Amino acid sequence: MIADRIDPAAVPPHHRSNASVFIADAAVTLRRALVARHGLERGCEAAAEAVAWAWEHLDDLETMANPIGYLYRVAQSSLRRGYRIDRLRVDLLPDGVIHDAHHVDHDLFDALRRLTPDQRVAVVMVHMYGFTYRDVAGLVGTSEAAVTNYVHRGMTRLRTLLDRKDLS
Amino acid sequence: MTELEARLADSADTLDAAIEVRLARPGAPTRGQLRDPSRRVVTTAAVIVLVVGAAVPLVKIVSDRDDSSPGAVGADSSTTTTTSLAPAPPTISSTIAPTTVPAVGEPIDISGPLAFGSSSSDVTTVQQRLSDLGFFVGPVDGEFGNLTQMAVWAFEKLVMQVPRDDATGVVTDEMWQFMQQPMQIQPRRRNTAGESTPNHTEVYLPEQVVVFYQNDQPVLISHMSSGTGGEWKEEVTIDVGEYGNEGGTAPIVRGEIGVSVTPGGVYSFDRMIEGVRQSALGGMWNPAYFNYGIAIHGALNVPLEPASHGCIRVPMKVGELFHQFVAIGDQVFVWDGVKEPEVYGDQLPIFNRIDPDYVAPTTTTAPASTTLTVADTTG
Repeated sequence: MIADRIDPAAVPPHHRSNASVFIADAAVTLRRALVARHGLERGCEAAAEAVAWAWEHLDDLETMANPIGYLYRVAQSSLRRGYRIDRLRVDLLPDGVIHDAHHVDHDLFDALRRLTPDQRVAVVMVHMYGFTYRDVAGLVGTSEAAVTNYVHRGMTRLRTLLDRKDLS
Repeated sequence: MTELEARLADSADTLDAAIEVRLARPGAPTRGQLRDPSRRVVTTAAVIVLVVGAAVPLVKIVSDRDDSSPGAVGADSSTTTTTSLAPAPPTISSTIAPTTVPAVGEPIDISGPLAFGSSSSDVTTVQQRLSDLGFFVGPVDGEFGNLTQMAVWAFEKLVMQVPRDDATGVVTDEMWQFMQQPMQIQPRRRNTAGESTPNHTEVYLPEQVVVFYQNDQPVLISHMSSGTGGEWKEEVTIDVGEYGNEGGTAPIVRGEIGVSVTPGGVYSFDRMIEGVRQSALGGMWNPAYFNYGIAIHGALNVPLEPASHGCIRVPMKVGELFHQFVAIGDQVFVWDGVKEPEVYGDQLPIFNRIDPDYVAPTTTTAPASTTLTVADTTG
């Protein structure tokens, strides 16, 4: 689990002995971030697109300062081709995916769905998976200050949504 | 750590588990996984097994066939197939393999070429033979009508390997002799080999033929018409309650641009609608969706060439029938003639976008153009 939380972007691929290790790590991170942003189905699809691209462009990745950030953008572009589906509802946990459902914090996942996509990625990556603000900024291609904002506002909104839930 | 932070951290495993479930979902692996070189080895190995398996019946047909028969796969080509295929992926034609099993008694002759409009006992014989092979001919009544013609097209394209533009729909004596040979249409993916669900559908885009299989037996073979591959720009009408106008009170009319492509890949049916469905691009009969807006459905106009917006059009009568052979979850394999479907996995279609230059027609010109567009645009 801890190993999974190491941002592969922190270690440039040319320092790694094996590109497949980099891509395997990147795939885990990309999947989590993209699922947070687009929901389970499309997030996994987009991550697969980015990983496919990565295998075909290993040489290009070697020269990049922030390869995982680039792969994230590749994934985003792959979804943009089908922009109409962006309007579908974002489902991080579609019904029936997890069988042992009573352990699932449904209220939390419901509330997450109501954040903006940027807030959701930031909150999930920082507070669910323990990424640093800097890691997330590199991944989604924005500044640390912006990520701080997304997390702050996202957490505030989550608290409001969950409090309201408790009262009702 | 606040309570909310703790809840978030505790839910990490849930989300990871959901991702794992999604990745392990039965059906085609995602494209990214397929291109991973370590998996590519596995894929290639599977392909070799498949080809070796397919090569045996191929050789058998050649020995059964009269070399002069039209469209016969020559002995040379199939020998090279068996020997040269190991390192490279199989060509599409090599796996078509209409192989032979049942014999048809004494060969008989027909009096002359049979074509659309013919009406005789010979037509009945041909219809019965096509029907026995699994082709949909409509009623076996001795009348050579539209459905019989489409069945002949499908036979020419699928079995005789006639390029789709050259299909004639005319049963010559030569074709009839060929048709009488013992043969059976076999699936390219077999449930018995664990390659497909028990009932599955195979769509061959180059041949424009769709085959519905149950337990590896062809139960319905039909001519079809898929996406043209071109870009379209049309006025669409989205009725109330349809996707894009779920909460509206009046139909939305707007310009959209899309690409009429039926992508190759491995899918499964996820939505089936009984009866007519009026989609934004026109009416469909009994659509069975397998890739977002792409469905197999009955249509009035099913020409020889690809003509749809991306859907698989089949004749209306086939549209009425095929639901009994398919169910939600059954796999659909779409061959595009370039790569094997598994290489693509569940490839997304190209989604429509709104036409930025669309200008709503004025009331004076609207009726003529609107009616024409809507009536003509079966998904």
